[in-house]
Amino acid sequence: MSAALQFECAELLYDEAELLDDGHFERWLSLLTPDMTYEVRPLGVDCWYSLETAATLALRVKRLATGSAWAQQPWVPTRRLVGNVRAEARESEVQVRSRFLVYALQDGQPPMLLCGERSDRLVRTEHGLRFAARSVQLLGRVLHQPNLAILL
Amino acid sequence: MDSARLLAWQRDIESGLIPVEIFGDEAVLRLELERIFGKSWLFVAHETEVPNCGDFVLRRFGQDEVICVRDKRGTLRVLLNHCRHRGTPVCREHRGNASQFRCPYHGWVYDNSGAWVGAPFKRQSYPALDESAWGLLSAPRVESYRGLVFASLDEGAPPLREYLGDMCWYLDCAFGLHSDGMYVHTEAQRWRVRANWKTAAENFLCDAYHVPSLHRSIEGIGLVPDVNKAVERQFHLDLENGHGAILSERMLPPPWSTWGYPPQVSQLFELERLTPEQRRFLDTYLITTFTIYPNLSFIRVPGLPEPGLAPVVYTCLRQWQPVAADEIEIWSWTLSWRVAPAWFNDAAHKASLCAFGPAGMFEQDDTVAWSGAPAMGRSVFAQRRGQHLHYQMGNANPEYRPRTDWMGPGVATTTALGEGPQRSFYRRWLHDMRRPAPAAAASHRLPVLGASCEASPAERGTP
Repeated sequence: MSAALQFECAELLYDEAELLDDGHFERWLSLLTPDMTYEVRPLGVDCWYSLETAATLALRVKRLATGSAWAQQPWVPTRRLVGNVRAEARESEVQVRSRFLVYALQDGQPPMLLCGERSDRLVRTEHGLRFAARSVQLLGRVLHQPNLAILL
Repeated sequence: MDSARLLAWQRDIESGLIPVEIFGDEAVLRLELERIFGKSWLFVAHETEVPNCGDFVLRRFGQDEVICVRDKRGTLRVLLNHCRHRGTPVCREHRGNASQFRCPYHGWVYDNSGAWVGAPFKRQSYPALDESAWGLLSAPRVESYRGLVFASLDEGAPPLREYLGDMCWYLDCAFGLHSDGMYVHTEAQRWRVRANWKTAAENFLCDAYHVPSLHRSIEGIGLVPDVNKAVERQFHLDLENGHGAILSERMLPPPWSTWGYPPQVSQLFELERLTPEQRRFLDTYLITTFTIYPNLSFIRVPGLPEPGLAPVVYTCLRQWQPVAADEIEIWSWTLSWRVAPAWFNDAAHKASLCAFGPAGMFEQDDTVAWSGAPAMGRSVFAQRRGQHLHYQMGNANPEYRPRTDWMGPGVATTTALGEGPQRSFYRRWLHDMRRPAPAAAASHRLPVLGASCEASPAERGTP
């Protein structure tokens, strides 16, 4: 594990966290490869909350701009902490594991606190490192949230 | 809860005014647990979740945790997950296969039919225990229809088929298209939502009206081309006993079948299993959602697994589990056809996740709308200024009337712009709420063993 690679991947995850927290979703989409896959699952249960691609993620982002994506309207800012970053180079790709906490408050709903782990596959492009696959595992067999409208 | 309050609701509900307090009051929920959840047939599992002897899943039954297990003889049992010694949960895995359940506290052991089979130091500790009396508490009635397993705590409940009544005709159409049936594609998604369980049940029962408003964004991104038109194609099925459905004219053009299956799948179905009337129904209409009273719902609609790909129709079962008056735990399963190719089932699963479930682009917004009724139900302002919700749409409106030449059982309406099935749901609800729960059965009254001191009323089995 190289310190330089570790640093580069951690910086990318921090930049990404800020984009998502602050609602810069178009810029976030530009960090994904066109064939990027994205899944969210509860740890220890054989099911999925999301099983998507860059194309459906773009649809989600488009929906947020319709003015009637009620679960995110009024806008729900998040604050996420990303840590325990571990990067490992594999030929032309990089496998990165990280852990996160996300906090958010939406009117009329209990505070959102999600904790989980991400496993990302990054590829190096002419624009820099890009996400080619993300697998998220959330702690808890039951999601104690009314929805998973936010991107993880 | 005093009966005068229930009586006062009778007139309101008859006229389509629903007292909002029933959505936020813990005393109402307590009575619902006793008189509705403690008596009705409740869904507990899909048969394919427990196919082999010893297979079990932990489930909610009202607010109780139960083990739904296929015992060593192949019989499905629904057992309360509490040791008869100190009440400790005996099963702590959410699914698995077990021949026995052993309580971690003192080590009482039950076999997978719930029978008491042992305890540590048994000879010294329990030289004269009546083992037959101390098995896990079990639901007296467990029956299934079309793969759906239900249980009831009411020994005198009518058979499940009778309880489902005319809904069986429609369940045949939904699940009986092939002799191999459907199976659960994955385990259930589970999530907690601020809502009263009735709000969710009535939404899937017949609320097509909310779609153009709450789900307008879906049209904006092209997931549904025209939400107004989608609603105009729909109408209600009112079975007048709390069960009901939203029916629709075909959503996808040929070569998709009326129900939205591509030819590669629809040609595999064995439609000869159905009656001519059922086949005519399948050729003309589809069931988009239904609710089986009190808290099991279904949805089957086409969706996109990804933009640019062909639409696929997916099927989900979901259950609205009451956690509190203002909170539910939603359980949702995507079902797949055994006979269908894997590419179709996988695409349908992806399309279902895209629209439904906690992250689904349809469903994530419902949870926002549903949180209001419990809060209003506790509102002093509403108590002073008017505490009824309007459920009168379609009342005395000739545009919303029964179809005269309906091919199936039940009442089909001309449009979906009414609230007839919801009014039937709340009439059934009130009917059940006004009927006391059956007394504890004689077999549950235990003799007091070797008692020299006075037995408590509970031990004497006083009802």
